[in-house]
Amino acid sequence: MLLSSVYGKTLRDWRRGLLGWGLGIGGYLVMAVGLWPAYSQDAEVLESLVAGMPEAVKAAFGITDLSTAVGYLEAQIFSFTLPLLLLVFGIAAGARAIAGDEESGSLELLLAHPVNRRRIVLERFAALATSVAVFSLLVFLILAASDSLLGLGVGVGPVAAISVSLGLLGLLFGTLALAAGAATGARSVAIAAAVTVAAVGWAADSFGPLIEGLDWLQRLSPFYYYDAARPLRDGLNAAHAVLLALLTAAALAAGLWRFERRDVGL
Amino acid sequence: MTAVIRTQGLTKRYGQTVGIELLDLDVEAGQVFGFLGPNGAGKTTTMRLLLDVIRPTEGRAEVLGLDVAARSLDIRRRVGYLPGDLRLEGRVTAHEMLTFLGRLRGGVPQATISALAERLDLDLSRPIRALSKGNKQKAGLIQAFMHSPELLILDEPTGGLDPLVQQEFLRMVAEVARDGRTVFLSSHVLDEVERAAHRVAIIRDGRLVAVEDVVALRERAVRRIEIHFSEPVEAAPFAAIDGVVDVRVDDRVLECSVEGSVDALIKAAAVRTVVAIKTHEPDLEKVFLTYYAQERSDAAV
Repeated sequence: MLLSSVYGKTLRDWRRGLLGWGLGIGGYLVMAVGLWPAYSQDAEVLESLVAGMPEAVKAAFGITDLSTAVGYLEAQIFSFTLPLLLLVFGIAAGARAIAGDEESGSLELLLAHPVNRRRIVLERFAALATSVAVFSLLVFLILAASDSLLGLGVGVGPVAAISVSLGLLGLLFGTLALAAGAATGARSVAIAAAVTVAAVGWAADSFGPLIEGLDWLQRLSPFYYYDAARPLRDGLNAAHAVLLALLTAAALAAGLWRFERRDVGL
Repeated sequence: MTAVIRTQGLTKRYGQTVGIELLDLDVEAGQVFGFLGPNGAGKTTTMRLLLDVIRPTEGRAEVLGLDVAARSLDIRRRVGYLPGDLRLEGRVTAHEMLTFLGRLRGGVPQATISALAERLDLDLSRPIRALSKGNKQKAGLIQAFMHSPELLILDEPTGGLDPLVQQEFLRMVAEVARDGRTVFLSSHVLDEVERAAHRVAIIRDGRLVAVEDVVALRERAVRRIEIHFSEPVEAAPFAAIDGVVDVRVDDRVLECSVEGSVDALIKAAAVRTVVAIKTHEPDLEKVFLTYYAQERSDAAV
């Protein structure tokens, strides 16, 4: 079955990597959430610790209060580490999807078959989206189980909301790398483009609000639409989610437009 | 006869560098058509243009009567292609890769794949990335042949193959031609094209130098021949023979270049006692020079 389409073949080629990433993401999440009960014993110490932190540090790592479960999850897991893991996976897979294959020489053979370029890009994108969705689901399952086992008091809605937001963020950056790779054929350019957007976006989202008159800056960052609406507290912000999805679609369309018109594999 | 490949003024430039320039080429159905030229002459560029992997700067091309720019998908359905720079990777086995590529074409019977693998002596159960260069080349040939395409475009097909497999490959090519199907193959070695093809196009620096029947080409090919005699010989009687040039004698060894038939030279040599004859592969550069000289003298007339 997996050998019948570009989509299936791509997932098949990626399966070892996906298993590794799944174990890494799942293992990290289980461990990080599992530390909460021990953490919460020292709630008072943590609160005084947070009170003494510079605003820039708190903003950079999304720390508000570490004495509640939601505050802990936001600061320790969802503001930095887990998005970073998803971004690294997405960018690596996205850069490999077209540009990596082109550089290795295998794209030329595929292009000699009766498969049009649009289909190749869309099926590779679908494989990327499937992988990210699987990780999103994994995050949802682990967090929902932890929520009821450890009594974190988050609720299924917010757990689903943060999982979806995380997936949309990972897919956006993966698609940026895929699209930049499809447009240029260079894996290094694909990675550089996505990493640049990520670094600048993260800085704008973290430090923009701290600078007077520049607080609008964070609204240009994809990270703002990931967690500014506090999905772990208030559930999914539909407008923000749609915006992330639209950015993804725009990046994909731009990459596709260029890929259909350029020379492949030189 | 209908043209299976037809290019008109086909041009590909990369910035300032020329890939191919104003190429007009006609390949007729049922032929094995050789595309001969040194590395970097534009052979791969031409083939990639025919497959729509790259796009022309100017000019147009038709394959199987269909315009490449508009109908590439329909063309690719009916063409088998072996890239010149074939690099296969991945953990999947050769069998799985060929099955996948076959399904992109709507499915190829397992028996066909197995039969081809047996002919070329390839173990299909091994992972693609673990195959040697020659075995990867065999997998590449199988994917090009397996759906019995009307046209095969093969870029340097014998690279990395050992002589026995090359023989089998030549038989496969001959069978395709017997079916009335067409093969367009490139090489930078004259002998290889001579053995496989009926007609040959010679390309150099992106320009088509000549299109000839192989028989005619062979007649014009300049061969370097070395004859060892039992006794010292004179140069003069050999230099007088028509088609023999560049004669050098060193005691008992005669060296010369022969254009076309070597018959007269051999008969002249046979008068004496011949110890050994060595012939060198026709030098492609010399073949080109012959054609350039021809072009110039034609222009002078």
